Amino acid sequence: MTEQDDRIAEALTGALRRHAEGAPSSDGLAERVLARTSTRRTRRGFGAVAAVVLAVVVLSLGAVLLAQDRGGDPVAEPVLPQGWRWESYRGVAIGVPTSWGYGVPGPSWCSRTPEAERPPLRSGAVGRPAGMRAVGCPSQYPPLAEREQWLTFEDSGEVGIREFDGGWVEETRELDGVFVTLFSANDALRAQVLGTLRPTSEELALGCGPMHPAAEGRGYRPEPGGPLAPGEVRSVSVCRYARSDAVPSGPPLLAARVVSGDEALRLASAVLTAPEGAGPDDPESCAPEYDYGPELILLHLRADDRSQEVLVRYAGCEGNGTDDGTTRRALTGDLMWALDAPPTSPGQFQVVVAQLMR
Amino acid sequence: MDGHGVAADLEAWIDVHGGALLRFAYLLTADRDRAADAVQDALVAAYPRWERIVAHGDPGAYLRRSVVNAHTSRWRRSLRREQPVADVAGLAGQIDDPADRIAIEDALWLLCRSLPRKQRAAVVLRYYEGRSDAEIAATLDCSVSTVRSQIHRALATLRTRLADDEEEVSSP
Repeated sequence: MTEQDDRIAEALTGALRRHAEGAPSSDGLAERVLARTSTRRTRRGFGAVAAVVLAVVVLSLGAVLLAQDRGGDPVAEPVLPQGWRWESYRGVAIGVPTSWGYGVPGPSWCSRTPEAERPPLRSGAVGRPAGMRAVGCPSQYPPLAEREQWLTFEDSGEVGIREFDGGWVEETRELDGVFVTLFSANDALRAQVLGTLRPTSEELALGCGPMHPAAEGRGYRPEPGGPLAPGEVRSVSVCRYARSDAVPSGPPLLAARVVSGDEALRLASAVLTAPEGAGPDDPESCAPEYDYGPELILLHLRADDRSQEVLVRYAGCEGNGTDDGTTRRALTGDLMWALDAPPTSPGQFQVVVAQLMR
Repeated sequence: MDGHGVAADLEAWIDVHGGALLRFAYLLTADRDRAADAVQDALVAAYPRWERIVAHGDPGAYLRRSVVNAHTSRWRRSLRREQPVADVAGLAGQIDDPADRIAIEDALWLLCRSLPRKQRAAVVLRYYEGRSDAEIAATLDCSVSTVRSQIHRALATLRTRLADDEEEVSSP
């Protein structure tokens, strides 16, 4: 290094030290970070995870970039092409075009509504395991004119590539015990979608942790926080979990979505203004092992400066209602309708709860 | 360590080291908002694997690397390009005078912002953090010789830019 370089280096050190003083303050940094991790419900920053995830999606410019986890090295968050979204199911996440809808009839495709009422074909759809009518359709997939690209999550399956008529291909990949199948006639898109398959995280799952103690037992209650008014709520992460002992081993997160604006206000109003109490329950209708139901929903309500977790039980014969750690409330029709949006629509509930939606 | 233990541990680390990480990010980005975003993103991303990171021995190194990766990643780089303007008129080689020193430091700060991001990261790690070539190489995920090359080229660029600006001022 030349003497001039030494002088420049010395000046550089001075410059950097002096200008480092212009850095943002670390006051509140821990709170903001922990709020975004959604693990400490009572220490809240405004960290809207939805905004983070949306930013990742919107700011992405090119092909999917996936980094390998290299032990202790930082792992770059995967970036989806613009106009794509993440779907999470039981510990895995995969990117799909935002234009794709929800609900896959699968082998029961021929039991769909009569042709006159049949909804327009979608470019694609995402399906999760659910009860379906056993219908003996003439083929595994609909005729060419009625086909949509279908991506399904399943807890069992057969890895491989299977060819169908008209150039349509069904490919199944497995990750951490979850079998993801894509049925498509677009080989490039199929490769691109399946190429995004990876373990999910709280960020990819829109603020929903893949694991949560609420799924492990009936004793869980959220950490109590200060009163939150519906008008303060800026976004809500809706996390649908299976009860851990109701699914094969692995993360119980079944689906996640995040809402903001009017939809967040509607959901927050429904959950925060429901009458105090519990139910409706129907304890006579269930065997003890099913009393609290096989699934539940956790809501993460986020205001500018804090957030609150609310547990919603609706699937059992007992224990139905909401709980924010301070106040238990009864389910209402407004709340059940507000929750009835894919992919986190309640998968099942008892008659007494279904009657709320009449 | 359960979730609350991890959160408490991470919080304690941030309380002690968060400010330094923000200063490092600010020197890389030269933008308060982007620095804050980069640090928050790095910490949030680190949370799920915090125990492993701590066990690895140096959370600070991990997080600096995360911030650098975010700063130099393609999609972020494509979003915005700074167009710094360095007013280094009249800056001669003499920097013993305090006023000249401040002026040249300001000029260098502006010129630093025009360096390629890997070079700028290497410069910040060397001349602000005081890191060794090996540490910088680990952070930038490159070889030690590349680090030396990056720093050498950065200094050459700064020296040339200072000289060019001086010539421009003295030319008719």
